[in-house]
Amino acid sequence: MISCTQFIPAYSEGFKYLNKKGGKREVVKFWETLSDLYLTNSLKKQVEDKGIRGCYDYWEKALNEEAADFTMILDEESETIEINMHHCPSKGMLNQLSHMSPYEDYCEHCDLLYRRVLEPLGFTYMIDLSNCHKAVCRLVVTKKEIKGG
Amino acid sequence: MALKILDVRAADNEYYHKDFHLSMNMLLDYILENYGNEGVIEYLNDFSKVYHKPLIDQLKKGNIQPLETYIKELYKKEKWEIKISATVDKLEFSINSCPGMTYILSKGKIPSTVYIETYRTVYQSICEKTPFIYELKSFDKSSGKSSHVFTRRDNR
Repeated sequence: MISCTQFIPAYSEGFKYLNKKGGKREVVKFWETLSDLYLTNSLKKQVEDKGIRGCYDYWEKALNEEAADFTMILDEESETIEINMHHCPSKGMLNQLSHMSPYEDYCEHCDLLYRRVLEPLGFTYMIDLSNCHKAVCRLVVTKKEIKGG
Repeated sequence: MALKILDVRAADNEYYHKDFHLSMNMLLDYILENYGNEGVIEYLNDFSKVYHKPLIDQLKKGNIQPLETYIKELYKKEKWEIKISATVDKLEFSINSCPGMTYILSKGKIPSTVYIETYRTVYQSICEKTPFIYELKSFDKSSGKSSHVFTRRDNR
């Protein structure tokens, strides 16, 4: 049995396996599949029901359960949510496992998975992964302005 | 309208995100669909040998006790009851259902047909170059109820 507490190393090794089989394109194909299967009834449904508040509710549960170190700011008036990840539990765990190395583009899955759900719902999605090697990143989701309205 | 701010430290919460069982199930199904049963076994072998290297190195020394500690900790983190017994030559454990499969079913999803390999392949690969042999004694594919035996090779 692979415990939910062991999933992140299994996930990272899964990316490596897919990369070995079909290169980065194959990894991206899996991320697209995972986004469609996993986020449709969770993040997507919550945002469809509650707008930007759905993002807050989704990440509040997920990030608390993952014991993340973060600050999340919701501004419902401007329909914007910002997450400052001070220490990502997933990348942090991979960095701590000195006997194995993470998939080199591990953090990119966070860009693809959520962007793929949120942009079609009318949001812009910005993620700064420039410090992700230190398990630090920043994410901003905001409602697109409707021009000529 | 006021801002809503959530400021959380890692120490505020326990690391226990059971939805990862769903993601694991999807990864298994994806590999099965694209690379077949052999692909799943190859992936789990790769993962297990890399991830469990510290445990494997300990078992190579001939002491089964680190495996007992590993199994107990694994299910403790899942908050799951197991029956486990160990001697210097043999470790047996059984569960009435699998925590991962139970969670997947509770969410209305179907555990992958290769879920069994997260036991069989993973534990076989842990034992491969050690003095121990793993045997899956039983496995109920609908619930994950199962029993497992690790035996010292000389004493089979």
